[in-house]
Amino acid sequence: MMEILSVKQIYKAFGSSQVLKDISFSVSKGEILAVIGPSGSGKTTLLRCVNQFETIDKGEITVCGEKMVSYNGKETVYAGKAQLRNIRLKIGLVFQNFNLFPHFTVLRNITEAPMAVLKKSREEAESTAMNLLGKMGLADKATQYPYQLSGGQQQRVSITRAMALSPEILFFDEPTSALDPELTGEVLKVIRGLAEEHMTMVIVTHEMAFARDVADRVVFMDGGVIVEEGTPEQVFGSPREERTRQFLLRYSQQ
Amino acid sequence: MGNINLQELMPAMLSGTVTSLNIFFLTLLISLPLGLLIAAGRMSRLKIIRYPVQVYLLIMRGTPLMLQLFFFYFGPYYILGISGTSRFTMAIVAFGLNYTAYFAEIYRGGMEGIPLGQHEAAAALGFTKNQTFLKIVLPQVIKRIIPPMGNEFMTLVKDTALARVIAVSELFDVAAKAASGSVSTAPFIVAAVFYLIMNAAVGQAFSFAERKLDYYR
Ligand SMILES: Nc1ncnc2c1ncn2[C@@H]1O[C@H](COP(=O)(O)OP(=O)(O)O)[C@@H](O)[C@H]1O
Ligand SMILES: [Mg+2]
Repeated sequence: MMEILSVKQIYKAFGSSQVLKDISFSVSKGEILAVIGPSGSGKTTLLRCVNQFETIDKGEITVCGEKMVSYNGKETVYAGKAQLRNIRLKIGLVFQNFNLFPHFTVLRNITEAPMAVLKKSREEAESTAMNLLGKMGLADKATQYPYQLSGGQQQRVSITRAMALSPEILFFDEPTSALDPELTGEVLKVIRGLAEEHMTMVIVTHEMAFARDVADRVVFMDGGVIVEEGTPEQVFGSPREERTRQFLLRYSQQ
Repeated sequence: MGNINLQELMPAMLSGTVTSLNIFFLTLLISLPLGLLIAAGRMSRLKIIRYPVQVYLLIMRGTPLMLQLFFFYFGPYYILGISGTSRFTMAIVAFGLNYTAYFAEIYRGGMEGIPLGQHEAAAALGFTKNQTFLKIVLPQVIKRIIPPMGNEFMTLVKDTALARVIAVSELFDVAAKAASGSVSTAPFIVAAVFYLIMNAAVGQAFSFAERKLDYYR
């Protein structure tokens, strides 16, 4: 199986607080990895390191066989600017609070990057966008502005926007946490749709039932370390670690 | 209202108005782009750029524009021994540098108001820094700064009257001289009406721009 993402022994500190400690995992093509863990455990920081928003202190990250950053025993060595940019284009990111561009219509939110970054023609970008919007059940929203949409619709647009660049892997940082409970379903449904199409995904989520159902593998993080990793059946059904058990217990009580 | 000949007064007042408008537009021509540069310097991570810019902003916003006008008009001669600088040119220099400072702070406020998520979403989509600025940040900054810019433009219309202190004969200077010559308040009233007309136009332009950008939130 082709490896899309490999993270090896990464460390990240903010000042004196060590936020990621010896994190290693990999994701193969078509695989779906769910990352769960209490708030403050370093999940967002991990995604931000892979997405080049933070630099790591130690360790290695490889995307589609291209070394993004490696460690020579003394310091990290990042790839050159052009290569980092190339790597970035293979990665899509969906934010907790959507971050749609408010001054663009839904359609332009989706077409702008393919046109400006991938230099696609307007016709091509728009037909791809309309196609994707149709799949997301948003075809009738193309000419609207983000403020005219519900949170769930906005998040679906932001997923469409990321998909329009045909990334090799898509990261989600708690895609439903900013939504009213009655709107989470429609977003989880489109992620499920992507899963059926074998999109490679890393999903940070507090939706345990969803993670259990859709993920191929689950990682439980706490205090900046990976406490436990396994299939959903293992991690949710018979967790090996006490910390995992405690965490899941708290969630099932809510 | 004293003995005043409107037929003689009007042409002088109109030519004063033209001078005022020249100060207004030339100041904008200098300050609007230069303010952007200064705002970038103010937000720079490099202290060697940021600190001098902060000193510049402090001086320009912390001392009277009237004093700055005197400084730029008399400074070249008293400090550098250069004579023959034109009053009008030095007025433009003083207004330009002064308003650059105010515009820079408005730009900075506008840019700092753009959520970090906008920059990050653009970066995640592969936009370059320049593309992010031009396509994502700037349009949103423009919408945000229209109200404070409107205030500043109106203040500038009125501030042009200060050019009189270095004997630039703009609208207010003409009015004041005509008033003292004819012992009449009529020239002041005419000047007031002219300033009001100019600012009404500025106000209209800004509410038009505000309506134009009303299509998103
Ligand atoms: N930019 C930052 N500067 C300092 N500390 C940070 C920063 N970002 C995150 N942290 C800290 O790192 C820890 C992990 O945060 P985060 O990755 O957001 O966790 P999670 O997403 O799992 O809730 C928290 O203690 C948080 O306060
Ligand atoms: Mg988080």
